Amino acid sequence: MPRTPPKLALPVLGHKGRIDHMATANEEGTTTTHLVLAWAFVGIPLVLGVLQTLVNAMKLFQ
Amino acid sequence: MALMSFFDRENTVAKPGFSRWMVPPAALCVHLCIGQAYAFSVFNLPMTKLIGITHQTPDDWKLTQLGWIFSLAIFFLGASSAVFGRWVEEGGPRRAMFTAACCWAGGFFLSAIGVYAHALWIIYLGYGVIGGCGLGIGYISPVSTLIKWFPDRPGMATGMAIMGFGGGAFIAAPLSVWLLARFTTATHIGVAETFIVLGIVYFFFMVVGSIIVRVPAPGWKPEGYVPPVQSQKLITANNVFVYDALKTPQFWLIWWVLCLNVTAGIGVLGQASAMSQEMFPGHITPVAAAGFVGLMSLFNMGGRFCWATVSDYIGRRNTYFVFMVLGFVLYCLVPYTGSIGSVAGFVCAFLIIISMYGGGFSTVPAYLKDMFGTRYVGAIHGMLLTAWSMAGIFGPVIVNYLRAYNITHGVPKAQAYNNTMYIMAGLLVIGFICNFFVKAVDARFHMKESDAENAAEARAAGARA
Repeated sequence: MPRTPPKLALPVLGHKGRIDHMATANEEGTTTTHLVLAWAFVGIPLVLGVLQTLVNAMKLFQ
Repeated sequence: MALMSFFDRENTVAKPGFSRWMVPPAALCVHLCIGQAYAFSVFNLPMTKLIGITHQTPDDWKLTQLGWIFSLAIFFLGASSAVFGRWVEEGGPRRAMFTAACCWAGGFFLSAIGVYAHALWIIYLGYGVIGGCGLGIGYISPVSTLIKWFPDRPGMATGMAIMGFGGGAFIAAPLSVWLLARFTTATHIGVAETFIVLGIVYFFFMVVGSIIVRVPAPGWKPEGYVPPVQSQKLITANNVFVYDALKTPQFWLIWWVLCLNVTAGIGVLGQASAMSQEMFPGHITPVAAAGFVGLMSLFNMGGRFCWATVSDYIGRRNTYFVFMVLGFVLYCLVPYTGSIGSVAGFVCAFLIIISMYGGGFSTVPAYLKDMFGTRYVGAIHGMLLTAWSMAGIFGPVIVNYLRAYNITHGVPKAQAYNNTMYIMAGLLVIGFICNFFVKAVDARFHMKESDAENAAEARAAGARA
């Protein structure tokens, strides 16, 4: 019997671009900027590397 | 002292307002760096000409000697994750990530000294032993933290991090080639300088990850998530102590499932280029084969995320059943694609096989969490990675020796891999049987409340000391 996991709670933007997740008192509030910077920090090198590999892989079909 | 306490688990507890979506990038900071291990072969040829520069002299290192660097690193990955697993779990992810950064970068710096002094044993010690420990500690450091932040999607969360390990080579290979070109002159090969730059870059990335990472506050759960009160058939709500897990048949059954799945994949991964050219002579050129290997790496990485995410929906045990059954069918089909000259069929079969190889790595932490609970899942995962070390020896040996045996007995090169494919398919049948016998862990292995309190006190005492 397949299990149905609960709906995944995605980041929701609150006032001033703040991510509301844990509580209303934002003592260590994660902003959208924090998230974008953190994901870009790891995402940009990874995407560049993947694109480079894809370009090389295209030689298989030439 | 203040700096040391910065690494304590207590100081990594997230305050209200922290988004759990900051944790996967923190994990990726570590896994993308240690994934460089898959691209170490980039240095093999330049390191065989450090003295001769344009050609290999008798004093230069041989490829067979250099091959031990990677093997040592993978061996110490498994060994250190098994030995330090409990320390990683109890010390918290920040301390573990920082330690991994020091070992990984330190391994590169020591290797640079080894290259400069032309002393291979220093590189064995640097990249192989110390770097290998960085690999092991870094690999398991974010696993249990991610599972605790994403109790609603543990497979997806760990899949994201372990995908980074597969993707690290995509960054490391072009970066290393570029750095080598920058530092190499007519009279000098710039391996040592490249190692130093890589060590600095990786240390910076991994430290950023250790600063970002947080553990959830006790009792925290995602908005709208209702944890199951009672254990489901194959998902426990209890915890099993790390060393008690070793006494359960479930641990060893999953150990064999992982070992067999990895053995089947790792053997063909290393030989994909030669195999594709020998099975399709004249159709797949060396350049096309290199493209095929790149495509396999992409599917290895993508499979880590996709299969682990799928496991959140169909269950971990069912996901491994898919790996075993689909893998069996595809391995049996590979010789047929060779006999009818179907390059497309061959490529598709191997891309799916390699995606399941990656999926095997990324689904296993969530499988362990289902069986043994979240409390010691990182440490138990560390113990399980010894299966990887074992598979790293068996897989290539089976493929290489069987091919050599077939060729010396007059089998044409195009058909030399057929027996190997059937043996791989047979290994997956054994894996299927092991997976079939995985049942819920007996209640006598579950931790009592008092055990959990004692463990928490011991951890607190350790932190104070």
